[in-house]
Amino acid sequence: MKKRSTKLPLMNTNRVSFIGASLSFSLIVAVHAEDITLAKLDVKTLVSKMTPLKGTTPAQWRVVWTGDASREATISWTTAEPGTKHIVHYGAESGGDDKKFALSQTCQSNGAYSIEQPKPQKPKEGESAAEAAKRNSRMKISPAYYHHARIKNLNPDTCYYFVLESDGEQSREFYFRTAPAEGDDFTLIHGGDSRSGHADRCRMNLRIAAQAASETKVLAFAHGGDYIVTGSKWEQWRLWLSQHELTTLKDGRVLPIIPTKGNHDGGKNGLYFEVFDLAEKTERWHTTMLGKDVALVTLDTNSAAGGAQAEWLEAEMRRLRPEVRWLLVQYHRPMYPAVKGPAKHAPIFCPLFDKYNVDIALESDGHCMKRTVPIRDGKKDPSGIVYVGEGGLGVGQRKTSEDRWYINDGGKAGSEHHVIQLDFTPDNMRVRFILMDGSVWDDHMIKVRKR
Amino acid sequence: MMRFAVLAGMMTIFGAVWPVLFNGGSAAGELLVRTHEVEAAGDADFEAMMEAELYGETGKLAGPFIERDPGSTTGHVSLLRDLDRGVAVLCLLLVVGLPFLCGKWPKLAWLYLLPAGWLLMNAHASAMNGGKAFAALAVPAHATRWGMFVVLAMLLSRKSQTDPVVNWVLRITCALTFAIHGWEAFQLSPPFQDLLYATFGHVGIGLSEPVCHGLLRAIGVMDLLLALGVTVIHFRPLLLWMGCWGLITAASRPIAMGFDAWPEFAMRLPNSAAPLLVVLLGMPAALSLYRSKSTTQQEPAT
Repeated sequence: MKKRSTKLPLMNTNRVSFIGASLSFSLIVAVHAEDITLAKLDVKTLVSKMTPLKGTTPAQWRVVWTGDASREATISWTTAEPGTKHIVHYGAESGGDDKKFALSQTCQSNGAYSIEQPKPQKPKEGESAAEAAKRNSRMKISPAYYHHARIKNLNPDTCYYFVLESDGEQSREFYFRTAPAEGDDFTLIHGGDSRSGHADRCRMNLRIAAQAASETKVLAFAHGGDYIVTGSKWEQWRLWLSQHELTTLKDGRVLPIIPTKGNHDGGKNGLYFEVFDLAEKTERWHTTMLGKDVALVTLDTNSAAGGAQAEWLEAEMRRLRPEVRWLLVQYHRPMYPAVKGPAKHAPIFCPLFDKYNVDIALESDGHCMKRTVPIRDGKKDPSGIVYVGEGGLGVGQRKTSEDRWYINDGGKAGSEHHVIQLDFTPDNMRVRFILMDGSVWDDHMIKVRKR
Repeated sequence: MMRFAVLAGMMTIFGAVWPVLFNGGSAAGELLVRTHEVEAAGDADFEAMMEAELYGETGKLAGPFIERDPGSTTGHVSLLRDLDRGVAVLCLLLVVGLPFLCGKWPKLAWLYLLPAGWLLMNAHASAMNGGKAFAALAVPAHATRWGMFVVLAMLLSRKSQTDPVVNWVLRITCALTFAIHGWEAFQLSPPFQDLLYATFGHVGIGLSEPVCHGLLRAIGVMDLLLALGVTVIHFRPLLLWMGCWGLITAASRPIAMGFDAWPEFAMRLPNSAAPLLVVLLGMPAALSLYRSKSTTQQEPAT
């Protein structure tokens, strides 16, 4: 039996039927987050919900957005064995029980994740060489393989159902929604810093799923970086990827991820780029177009701010600002931090943000919550830019320096795990900090700039 | 020379302590807090369980997953942060107070090893924490910083300005710091690139990327040669240039980032002070030693 058809019509005539369907989904999905008691985590149950890496069973699925989110997406997954044939079957209609889809795409990029094996340890006292060798072989990290299917020519504002297939092994059916061609009647979730605290990381993933379930306009999830502690270690990435499965809603909805590279995500082996199917030389910074009216510019605070990045940023903002209603930037290290010192990128990035009237800057790294006063030219200014974020997707939270001018007298700072929910409307952007328990810490409105 | 070294030490410790008190803590404090948080969150058992259940790896033994009460973790973290600040303040007080006390009790100068150890520990913690370009090289990169206090301990306790050990501690720490910074520059370290872009930007020069990269490569080669030079020859102009260059690079931080970045300038002052101290000591380098030895051996023959 085929599921409902799929144009997700938040702004057209099928609105009523969509809301009805969404409500029924919400009822199902609300149980999903509650399957697990967030306060007291049953780890065994939680882990049992993640897909084991075995054979060519598709696991660790994610949809990645870095370009035109109305028409393109990269669907990625991991297998334990290399396999030979990796296909994503997809279409605007559910494949039903037979999993029959109108379209399919063979993965354009497959390969082994770059794994650095731990150094063999010497025999312990009283341990023979053979026993030490056996112990060392147990410490060996199993290989794993990435598969990326870049799909194009999608229709805007449409649900795309898909099934992953590796050598005949199929996943269950998932779906994601493309961004609308124009208009901004949707919500974006932003969060960063999931590098430690597995239990809280899982709780926050469940919170993201719960937010998307309860507020059906949630379109995607922008990660502000620092997914893990050591970016060169596959053994950490695989944990993050398996736990990321928890952001999938019970009805199979996957929130596309818009990745940012944090200072802990680097490494000579380039695993970050393998995980998100990005070209290391050309896609360290990128723009995700969420339709015609919202642009999210992702910057890299691990690379130099000046030179190529600044030139690209200026050209991109000059192009985008007259065209889009909402111009957002995200990057890892904060320009106006609530805990540490400012990023060395600030003298180069901030004047460009001011010049092109960015609407909001999304930051991470500080392990705290922060919303600054509007800032222009290093001073409080009603026409300035509000800097929000600092990251709380599991990592231990830090105490903020309350005496900083930009978080006083209208700004705000605190220390709790959180995500930021950005609700766009034609006139306003509502910025809410949602805590792990679903409560709201801050609710702020940013008015659209006159063009 | 003593006064100069003492003053440089004071400035260094002010710069190092300031971010601990007002910017979230030291690298060592950060490492301690993270280690505690990871342990309190039960991450090791969580990982072991996932590895066994999802990836079929049984190298680690999964214990029962136990998360500590968040309240007790917060309390412990708060205690660690207080301890971190306490150690920083103690180092500051020592460095400010010791010059007055050492006049009467020279042996107290060995207490300078405490701030030296603290700075060395922080460099090591920076390497462990990661997350920064070339973080793994922090211990040798910060050598002049922690070495400055080793030198102060020796200078003030022995009251001798002709100690060859002091000479070699200074030369080797200078060489380490300049060599690592040279290597970072040659590898086009992104923070160094931004220092150049921002500094030149302040004087209205928009640096293009090829020029910036060319400059950094040249600086890298120069630093590596200076590192070699300070150990091999005693050549005053070279040492004076090292002192000037150390000062310029330290000052580039507040120039690029604004006056709020003064602690970054202060804590890098030893990069300038250490080569100048070598000049003031006026003692031979490796090549001079070789020459003097050769001369000594040849003397009986003549």
